Amino acid sequence: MRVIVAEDSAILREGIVRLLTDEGFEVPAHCGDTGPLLDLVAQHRPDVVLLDIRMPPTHTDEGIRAAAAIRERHPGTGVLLLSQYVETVGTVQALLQNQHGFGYLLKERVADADELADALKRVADGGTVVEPEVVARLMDAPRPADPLDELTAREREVLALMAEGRSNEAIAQRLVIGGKTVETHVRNIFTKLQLEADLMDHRRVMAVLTYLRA
Amino acid sequence: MWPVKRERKHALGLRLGGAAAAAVLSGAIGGWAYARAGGSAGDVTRDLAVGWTYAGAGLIAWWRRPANRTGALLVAEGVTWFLGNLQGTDVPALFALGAWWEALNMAVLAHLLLSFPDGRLTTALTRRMVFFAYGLVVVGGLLRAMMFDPAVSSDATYLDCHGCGPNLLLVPGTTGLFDYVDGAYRALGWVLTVAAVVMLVRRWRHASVARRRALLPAWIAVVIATAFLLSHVVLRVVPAIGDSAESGVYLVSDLAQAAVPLAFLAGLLRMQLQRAEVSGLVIEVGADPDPVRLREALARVLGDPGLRLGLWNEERGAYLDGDGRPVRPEGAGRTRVDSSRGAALALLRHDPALAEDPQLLEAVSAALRLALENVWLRNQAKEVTSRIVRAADTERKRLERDLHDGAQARIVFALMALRRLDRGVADHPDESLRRSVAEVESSLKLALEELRGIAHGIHPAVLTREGLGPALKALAEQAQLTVVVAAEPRRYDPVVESTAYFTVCEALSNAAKHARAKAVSVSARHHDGKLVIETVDDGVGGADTGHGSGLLGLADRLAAVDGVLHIHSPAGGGTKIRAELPCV
Repeated sequence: MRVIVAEDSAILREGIVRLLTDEGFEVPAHCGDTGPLLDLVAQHRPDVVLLDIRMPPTHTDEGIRAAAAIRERHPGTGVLLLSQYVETVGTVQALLQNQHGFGYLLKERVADADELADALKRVADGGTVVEPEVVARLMDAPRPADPLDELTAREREVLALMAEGRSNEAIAQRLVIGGKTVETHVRNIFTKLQLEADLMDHRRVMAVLTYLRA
Repeated sequence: MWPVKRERKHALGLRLGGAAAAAVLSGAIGGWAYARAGGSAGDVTRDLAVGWTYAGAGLIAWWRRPANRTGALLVAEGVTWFLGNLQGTDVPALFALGAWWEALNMAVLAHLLLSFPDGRLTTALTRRMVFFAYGLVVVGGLLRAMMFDPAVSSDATYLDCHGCGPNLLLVPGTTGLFDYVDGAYRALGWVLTVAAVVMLVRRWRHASVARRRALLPAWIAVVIATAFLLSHVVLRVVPAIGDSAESGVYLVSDLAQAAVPLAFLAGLLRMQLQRAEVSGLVIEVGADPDPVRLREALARVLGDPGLRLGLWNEERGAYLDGDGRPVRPEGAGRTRVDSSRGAALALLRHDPALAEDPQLLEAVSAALRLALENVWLRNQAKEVTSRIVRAADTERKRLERDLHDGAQARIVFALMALRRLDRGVADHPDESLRRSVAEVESSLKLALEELRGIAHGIHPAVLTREGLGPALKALAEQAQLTVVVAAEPRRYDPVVESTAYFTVCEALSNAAKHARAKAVSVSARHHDGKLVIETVDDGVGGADTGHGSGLLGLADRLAAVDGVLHIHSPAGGGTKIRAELPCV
């Protein structure tokens, strides 16, 4: 699997490249700003671009704009954005809107090789990745009358993993439970929250995020 | 400086005392002579009232405006008023004096009218006229007096003269010429009077509003004098008018005469009142640097509606008025106002007539200097605070980025290295070593989290990138209580955004910590060139804005960007905080 890394901190960039190589990823190119990025993508046709949101020259939203450009020219290429801080749900939703193969993680997640590899693979497969910290905040947000109270502890765990963009199988693996059990949990959750039950994949993530955000 | 002033005051006191004594003496002798010549008690009283009113008004004017000769002239009018009465005595020298100087008060009155309100004769023509008036009295009056035998021409004076004189100046054998000389003398007097009135009319027609205001008393005097003369004519032409009506006319005309000096005094003192208005000017313009309003206030105080005010503009190197047009520093009627350090502040283009009241102009200049320097200082202070706030804001942003790009990147890298280490020691027999690695990892993660919190507190990146609305929503997401945000999607100046953001932070922290609120609503909208931030909580109210409170610091920070803070926090009624920040 081919990954291009765009990260302005040289030390971190080197670290990520080494880690990805160790994990068996191929890193055909990397860069410290978004200037050469589009050319590199056109040249190497990676599966995923791992991209820092804040990069020179303004250190604001260079990464987001580069991601949009990549998606426009190479719709099949996955993009995993890294951010130094916990983005707002509104931002995350805007980023994910109708985007398959898109994800956003806190930068520090790159330290966990397994986590990073998993996220890259999901994005490459057209899946969605949402930073767990964002989901945790949503789950903890105070609500006037909290329907989440009706969920069991396990159902809450499943809901959080769903919101992070994980598939039923991934959830089963993570929680070390059977696939059928996960399906039952998901059905119960959707019934209790009065959500459409047959949503899959990306649309499921968006529905859950929208619900949690409301 | 003080002794000199005191000396001057002393000299003034002496002069005033002398003038008062002269007026009293003149009035006493004149009154006695009048009574002797058949004046009734009422006549004498009225005569004394007019003369002494002139003298009294003159003394007050002299005392209040020592630099202006009007006071002295009024006193002179009061003293000379009684001289004609001396023709009622049988003392030859006094009679002669009265006959000679009977009309001296008319010359003084002409002098007074033509020199008012400045107390100086400003044109050559008026100087010539006054010179001629005095000359006429001195020479013509002397000639006439030399031919005046009261025994022969008993009705040549206004006095009912029986047994007056003899006349010390009388040259025997010339009395036959008296009627001609007397007629010529009176005719010249009339010519002079008409000339003076024409002069006054001309001056009035060319005068500015400020000047007319000052000239008004002279006009009242002229009108009254004319009415007085006309009443005499009427009485002469219509003799059947009756005694009671006649004495009524005399009474009214005497009262009117007494009003003349009071009109002069009022005119002079009004100029002083104008100066008193100046202190009101300082208060009025003190808080408002608006040149249009400033000009209006000055025009009112100076009584000059055509006044132009130019404020010094450093960039254009010129005095500019309220519309940005230059006010040229040339020509008559200009007053420059410089700061106490000598820098140009303002230029007044005013009616040149105002130059005749330099004290008023000086007072106005001083008030203007005070007001403008005050405004300048305030602007300077505001500029400095605003600069400090901006600099602090930039510094916060830089610090936040440094933390992210420097420290955070290094810690993340350390975590990555640690993960490799962790894999390396996974099979190590020493369990404590593996535990240590796990401890370091959790410690580093904690450090990252703290770092993120600190960086966010210093300056939230979302504010820079996405603006106030998203930043407030992020704040709401992290808050420990329910926060509803309604924000217009709009970008503002970075300092305005960060000030608004930290205002909401403080409001939320107050709501959570002190007000024990459950929910807060936050709104940010653009209204009338201002960003209006409102937070309303359902807490216990009674917010403390006193010393050391975070809300007080907030007010300071807002003031630095010209914003205002309103806090409404009745006990038990929740807290409503409203901040208004001007923005373009």
